[in-house]
Amino acid sequence: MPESPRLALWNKSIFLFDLLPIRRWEGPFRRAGYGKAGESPFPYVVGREVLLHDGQNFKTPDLISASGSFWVVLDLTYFPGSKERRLREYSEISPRALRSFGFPPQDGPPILFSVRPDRVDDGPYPQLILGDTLTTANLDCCADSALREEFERVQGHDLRTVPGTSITLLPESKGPEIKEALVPSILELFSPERPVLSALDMVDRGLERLADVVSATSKRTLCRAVEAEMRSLLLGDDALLKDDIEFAEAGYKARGNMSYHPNKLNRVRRALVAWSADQRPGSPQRGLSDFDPDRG
Amino acid sequence: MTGPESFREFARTLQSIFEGNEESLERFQRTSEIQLKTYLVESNTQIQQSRPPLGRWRSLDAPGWYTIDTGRAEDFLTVDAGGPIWRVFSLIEATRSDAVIGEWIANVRGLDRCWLSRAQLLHWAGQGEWTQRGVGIRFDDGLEPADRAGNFSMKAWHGDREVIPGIGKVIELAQQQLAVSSARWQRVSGGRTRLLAETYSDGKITFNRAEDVDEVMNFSQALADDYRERINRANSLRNNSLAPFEFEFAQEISLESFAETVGAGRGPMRLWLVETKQERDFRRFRGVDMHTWDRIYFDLTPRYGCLTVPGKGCVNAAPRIAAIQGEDNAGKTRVLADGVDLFA
Repeated sequence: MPESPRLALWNKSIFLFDLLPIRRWEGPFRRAGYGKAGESPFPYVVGREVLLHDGQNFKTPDLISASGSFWVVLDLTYFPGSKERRLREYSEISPRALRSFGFPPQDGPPILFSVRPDRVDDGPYPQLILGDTLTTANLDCCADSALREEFERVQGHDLRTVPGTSITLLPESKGPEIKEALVPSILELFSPERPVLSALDMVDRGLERLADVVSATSKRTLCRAVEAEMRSLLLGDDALLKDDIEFAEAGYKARGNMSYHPNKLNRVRRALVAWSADQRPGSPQRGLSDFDPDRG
Repeated sequence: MTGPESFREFARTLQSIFEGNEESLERFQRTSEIQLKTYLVESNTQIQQSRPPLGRWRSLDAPGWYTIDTGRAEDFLTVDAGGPIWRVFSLIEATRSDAVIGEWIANVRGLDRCWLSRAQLLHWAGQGEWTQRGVGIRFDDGLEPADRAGNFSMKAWHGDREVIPGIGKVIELAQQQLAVSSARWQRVSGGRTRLLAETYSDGKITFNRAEDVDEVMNFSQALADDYRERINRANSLRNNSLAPFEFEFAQEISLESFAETVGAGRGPMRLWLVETKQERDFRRFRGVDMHTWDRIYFDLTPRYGCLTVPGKGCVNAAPRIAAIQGEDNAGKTRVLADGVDLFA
């Protein structure tokens, strides 16, 4: 299953705040004092609506964090064009908004970071380029000298195996990303309690803490995409799990009595690997994936 | 009725068993009474709403305390369900007791064992009146085929003298590399043994000797309270950030074998996972923990892992996977959350 590039960007961004002593990693934001335990209840907040200076309008940046002296707003994007205008809009976020999250109070404007997998000119803002390795651009535009130093220290760090997070779906997720996000929910259907999960349940599970902040429109779009992917898994003569899962009135449900014999569990696993390997949205399976260790 | 009629009768019953064993030890060098087992159970349910392990629940005259009635005198089992960590006191014969409690936990939604880490099992090291009187080591090499497995297990209970010179070094070496599955502790005060107890990684305590029922209550309560605090802290860290639980394995694990095992839901780990990413020496898995059917996400290298328990999934999965995987295939295993050795 090829990893979702959008999720990879999220995972790599969160990695910059992580403390993982076993792999000898302390993220640059963390080392520079952002989201420090004892000074704020959260290391960062994601996808939260925040008030602008005008006191009337709101924005929903991807990630906000604060240290004792500075605060940052991160915009994560794959958009090929410049995000300079969006970043400029984020400069209108009121520092008073930080109080809602328990961050240390701030006076000045945020340091606005553009976060991308590849270099794109997003104007005079510091940019984090999170591809296979970590690079930066326009770091001199970052007002926090301690943070600049920390990013200079980790330049070139290998990002290919950063940990995943609990967020497995994003509002802009498409076919293959959706399939990958659906895997654990589909396995969950086989629990002895035989839960019924709707498309919305599955979407909320994938969005995780973003579920409360994603718009109803985006969720409806995601639900339709989930339903299309589930149809490819359950309907048609070639559908791999048509005998195992049915669509009940309220959602998806495992059929009949489940045997937890390893052969049965392995068959379901192989079916999901094969289904997920097909990258066309809503497409039926074509064959075993290159990632199936039992291939052959 | 099978169980005690009151809390006082429960306490008196335990006391008489301890006293009976002390007298038997003095006279016959062995215990005569059945040994008390206490099981620490992590609960996300209410006791009145859960099926009892046997018979029917009956509340005692102390808040949160329950016993069971089955009509059989040998089914003496009492539960302190006053908090999120239950203490189940059992005087049922040992083999049957383990089976009854194991079946109950496995089949009642919302119950799990308390999975005690190496540090919790060895908690009393260096403390005042406590002396370690044994350690259990276990390594099943469960990812290897049975004929090629390098499995090892040892339960080394000992007294005050090293009867085989150098045996301590062997035990220490095994302890460094492999998972500690149990430990035995003795508390001596005023020249008398106050308590002799075995603690197990799956949350069971066997009280071999006790001078007083208070010793038993304090010992098990201390472990339960400590475990609850760690779980609360793990929950808080999980809820407040997106950072994973970090695992470090003393024994290198085969990612291929792990993928095959969890893909079929095999083995004591009871994980059913689908591989979603593969790099050299790195695999990403997504699936469910079949103990609770919560979703889990697991990133693995041969010596290192990152576990994410999304949503409201029970973070008890972290110490459970560490304990079981450590004993099954990973050897000595550390678990960190946000840089903190949470279960140390």
